[in-house]
Amino acid sequence: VRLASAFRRGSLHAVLIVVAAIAIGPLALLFFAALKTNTQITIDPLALPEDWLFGNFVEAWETAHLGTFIVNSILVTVPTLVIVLVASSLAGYAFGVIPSRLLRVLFPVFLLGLMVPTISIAIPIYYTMRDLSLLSTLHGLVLAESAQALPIAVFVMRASFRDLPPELRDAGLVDGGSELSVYRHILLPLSRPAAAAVATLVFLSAWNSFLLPLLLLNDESLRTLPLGLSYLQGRYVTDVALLAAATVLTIVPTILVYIVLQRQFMRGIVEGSAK
Amino acid sequence: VGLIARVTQASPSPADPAARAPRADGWDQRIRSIRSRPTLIGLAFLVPALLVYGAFFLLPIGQVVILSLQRWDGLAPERPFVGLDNYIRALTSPQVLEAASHNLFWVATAALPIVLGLLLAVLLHNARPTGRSFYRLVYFLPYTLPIVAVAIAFKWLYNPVWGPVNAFLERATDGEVSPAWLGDPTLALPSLALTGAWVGFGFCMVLYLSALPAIPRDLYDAAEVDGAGAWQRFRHVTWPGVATMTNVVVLVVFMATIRVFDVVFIMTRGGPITSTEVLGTLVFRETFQFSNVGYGAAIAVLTGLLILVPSIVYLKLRERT
Repeated sequence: VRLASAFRRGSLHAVLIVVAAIAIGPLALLFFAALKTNTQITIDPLALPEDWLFGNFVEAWETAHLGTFIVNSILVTVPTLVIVLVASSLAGYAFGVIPSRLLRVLFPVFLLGLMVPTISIAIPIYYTMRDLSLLSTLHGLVLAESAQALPIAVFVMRASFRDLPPELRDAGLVDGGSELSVYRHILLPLSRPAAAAVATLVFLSAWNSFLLPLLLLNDESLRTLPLGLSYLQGRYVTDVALLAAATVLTIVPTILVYIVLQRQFMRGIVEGSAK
Repeated sequence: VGLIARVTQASPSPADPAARAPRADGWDQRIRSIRSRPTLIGLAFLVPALLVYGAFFLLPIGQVVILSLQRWDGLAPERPFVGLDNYIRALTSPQVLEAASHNLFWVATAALPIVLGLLLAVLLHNARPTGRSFYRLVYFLPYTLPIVAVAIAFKWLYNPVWGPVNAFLERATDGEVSPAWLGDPTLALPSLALTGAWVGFGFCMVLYLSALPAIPRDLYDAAEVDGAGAWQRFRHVTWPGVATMTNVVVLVVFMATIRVFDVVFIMTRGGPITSTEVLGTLVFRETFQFSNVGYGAAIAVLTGLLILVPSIVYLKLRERT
């Protein structure tokens, strides 16, 4: 019996390790490719690098303007986070705890945003931005990304406020507090975990976004990281090593953020889908 | 999405004032007086969200519908109204129908990450292997990566000349097997979908992992006492236990996969020929490369309906049961 159970443990781990290899393998191969010469990649893409050419990263960083792209991505993601967190927590409070028939009728309008895909509204967004002279500006992109992230954010914040005891708001109002101060000083602090989950969702959607930057940013110096990387494809057609190095550098910030905030990421996914 | 939770637990919410017994003292009256004027304040709270969401989401929904009824090249000052012409053209175009079938293929292949996600969640939760938080971290990692980077990485993996997949296959089969993957019209779409599955299986796993703790351990113990094997325990305890979550996963994954754009655009742009064309890449090309804005808008509206209608029907059906 002990042998059978040891065998079961063993095969369980074998399955788990194979899947882990599937998850990490492509990234590891890409990382190794980034450390090779193009000839080495062509001869044997599976082999370990011979000389570990870390210089590829330096070259990719410098020739591809990755530094500029990262700054642009930060300049889009951070304001989007601020706008969405403020707007969604206010709206979530209204929908979650303020009893009003009108608000109950309005809420499904935000549900619509969960279902309508970006591509369906991309055309008018492009022409609206053009008419407002917001094409090829980062703040124009921030507004469009905020609108994309708001529905799910409002959703999660509403659920969080709704699940708090309603007596908290009643007591705050009876004590003479305004609705705004009840929100700010009583309920919002209690919703901090939900806000953190929302932040990870917004980060994922804004930082990784491709379609909207592709449409709205025509100026090379304004490209975000994913957009800039997509153009490198055309530039490094034959230079696989440099493209791999640039891709690895693009992935690194996301991996670091993910490892630090993994619990919030997973919570964000669950709250965003199942609440 | 959250509708499901609302639908499945149709019990009165704790915030519902009618659900709570009134109190006899003046406290109750004061609360009621405060509660009678909340609509205006509530609307004020909505202003920031409605401004951004209204201008750059709701308004565009209306605009795209109007554009779809017009003929426009994106520049001309006048946009003649053409009725449903763009829709008729789209719905009778083999190109659009083929693209739509590829979107549906994409949805169908999502069964793979869902099944794998459930399997991994059950293994990690029920068997409690050592290092399970490490496995969970690793499996979910692909989902968090920029999709552009993933697409570029997989494009290289599939490359028949300098990509590792064929290097491995050729070595294993002595050069016999060496598919062109993204260059082969029959293999290109499945190859792309496999990339999508790689991104998504950890997502499904995380959702299932969140549902498994709610299944009481006793049920497993009882099933074991009754002599149920591993499969029967899964079939009769786990599967019904995660039924609600399966509904959530199917809906969320449906909405995520049917809107496919980024992976296709980066890896194949719809080619070779039209073998990986999806509605998103078609909208992009018609509108911004061929300047058929009205026609592109009509396809964009149809794409939206392809997601909206099944989602709403599904939610309504669930509401009824």
